[in-house]
Amino acid sequence: MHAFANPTRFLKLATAIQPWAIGLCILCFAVGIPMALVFSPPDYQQGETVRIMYVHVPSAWMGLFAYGVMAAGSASYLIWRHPVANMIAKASAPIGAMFTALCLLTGMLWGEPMWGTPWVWDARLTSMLVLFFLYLGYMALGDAFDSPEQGDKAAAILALVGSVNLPIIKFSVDWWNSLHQPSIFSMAGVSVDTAMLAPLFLMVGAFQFYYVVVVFMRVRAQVLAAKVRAARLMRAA
Amino acid sequence: MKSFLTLIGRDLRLSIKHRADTIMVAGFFAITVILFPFGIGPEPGVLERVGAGILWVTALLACLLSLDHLFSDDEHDGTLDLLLTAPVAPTTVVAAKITAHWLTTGLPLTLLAPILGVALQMPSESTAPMILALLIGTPTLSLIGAVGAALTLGARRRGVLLPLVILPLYIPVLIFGVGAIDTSGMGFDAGGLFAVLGGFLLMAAALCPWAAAVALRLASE
Amino acid sequence: MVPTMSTRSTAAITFDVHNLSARRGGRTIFENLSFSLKDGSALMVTGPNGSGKSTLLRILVGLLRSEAGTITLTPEDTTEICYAGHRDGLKGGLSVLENLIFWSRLYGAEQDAVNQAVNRMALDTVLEMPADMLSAGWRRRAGLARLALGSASIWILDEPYTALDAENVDRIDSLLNEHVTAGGVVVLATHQAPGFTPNHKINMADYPAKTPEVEW
Repeated sequence: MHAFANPTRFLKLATAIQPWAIGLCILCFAVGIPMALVFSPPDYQQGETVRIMYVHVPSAWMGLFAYGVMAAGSASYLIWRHPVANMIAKASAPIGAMFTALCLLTGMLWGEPMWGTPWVWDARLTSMLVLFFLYLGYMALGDAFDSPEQGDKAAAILALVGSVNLPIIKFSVDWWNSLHQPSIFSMAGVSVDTAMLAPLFLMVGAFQFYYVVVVFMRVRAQVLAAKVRAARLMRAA
Repeated sequence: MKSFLTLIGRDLRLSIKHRADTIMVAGFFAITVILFPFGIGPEPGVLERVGAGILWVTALLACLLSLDHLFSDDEHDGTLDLLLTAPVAPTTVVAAKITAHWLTTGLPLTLLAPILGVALQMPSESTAPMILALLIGTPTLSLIGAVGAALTLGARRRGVLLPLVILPLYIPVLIFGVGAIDTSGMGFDAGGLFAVLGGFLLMAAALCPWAAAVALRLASE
Repeated sequence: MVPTMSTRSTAAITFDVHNLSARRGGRTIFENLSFSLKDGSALMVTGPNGSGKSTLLRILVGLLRSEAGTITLTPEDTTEICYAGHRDGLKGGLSVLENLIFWSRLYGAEQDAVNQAVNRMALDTVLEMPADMLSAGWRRRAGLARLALGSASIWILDEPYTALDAENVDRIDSLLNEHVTAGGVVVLATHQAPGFTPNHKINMADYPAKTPEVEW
């Protein structure tokens, strides 16, 4: 792990992995999308709308996964001062936020025919909404300081505070939801047919590889920006 | 312990000198609560139903307003640097400031809430649970808020940033705070909900002063 | 926990700084700075603006982390250090006396210490005044009276002479001289030559950054 704390060495590794990640991402999409949209069976209850699930579930997973990466990266940045860990955390935030937004959006698209209204305070959707705001807070805090280093540290602490709070928020929202809406037809309860599992896993894989590709791109951009900044400072000095 | 009390004493003395600040926060709480009947109509059934929620949401916002200067006053006049270099643990400094903050915002809001509850036509049975819920819940708001205030110290556009950072973390307290009042108001046993609120308070008391102290150290760098 | 003024002269102090480097905002500010101070000595830190005087002082008191190097203090007790920065740390809403009492309690000083500090800095005429009514010179005086309150043997002062007239400069000089004579240590960043004569001097311009900035 320490070997990759050096940005240059990390970039070398990233450059080596990148083509594979891109290839696998395209492959998963190329097989997964037709399977999900055309070849998989429609649900007996939800009909064709069940196909939204192939985007919705992977985005929900990625929204959580990216937050986990962000929290882990922030922790190792604060404890061991790994610059790359911080860069990965920072790179994960906008991607995670986008996946969370995608999850909310597809949830609403799914809800329109199923609930008859785009938004219902479903426990899972509500938790994802709060997660989205946690992402926004992290990104806003990181950008709010004149010294980038101070912004990085403050945002890293917030990511950790958020990760402690996330289970508490989840628990609270679940309790609140059960109080107010005792029985609602939730996407969570859908039993998944094996014919649906293969395309679902392919889509999860596609999203996962897409995430890897974009994180590497963003980290590379951050390393280059840091170099430019250092060069400017040196010229000014 | 002695320095803890000394620090609280100083903050209370300061808030007596600047008592307008405390009065303004209480005033904000009152006027905002009073706005709701105008917004949603004076029908007793409706107000009674949403009263606890209105009180809690407004209390969160009022608390947020006063958090803005929790550490920034000490930062501006250089006191924060001196406190961090004084022979006192930074967590003690933070814990004392949080306690003083609660005494000057959370406590007045709690005392004011029953009066506003009358204006919201809440049943008289929910007065005692309301006070108890606010008494247990508002210290948690001060604790979590202190972390946010410390993290945003020195940030640009702090007024907008602070709510964005803190309000999502306030949601559990809001949910169980309102739940405890409503459940007891309907005549059910809400002991478990108060216990959850108490659990939040204990957890926040264990973690927040420490997190805020770390954030303050970073802000002074 | 309740030290008296006299403990100052009895404890033998060494304050060693070895190969200290500092980095701020991605830029190395100074490198390989070393000095060693014993009780009864004073160090004057000079250097142009931006050369890292304040950064050095903030590292010494523990507000900033150094990039490299060691700071050794014997006896190993950080309560031995008292810091006075650019800003005086006076609460505008409180009177001078209230401010001093607060710090004396926090430093665990005896009741009498406040009176002594007031006498030393001749603050008796402004004691009841709210600190934000004071002129800059008076405020600085009241702020530095805090140093005399505690029992810290190492005083670290950042630009104590700004905004002061000749009389106040003299007063601070005598405060510092007294402290050094009593066996204390003073570290002082300034670009004014004070009437107080430190036996050690360092110029920050002598410790420029040599490490290449782009290390990636």
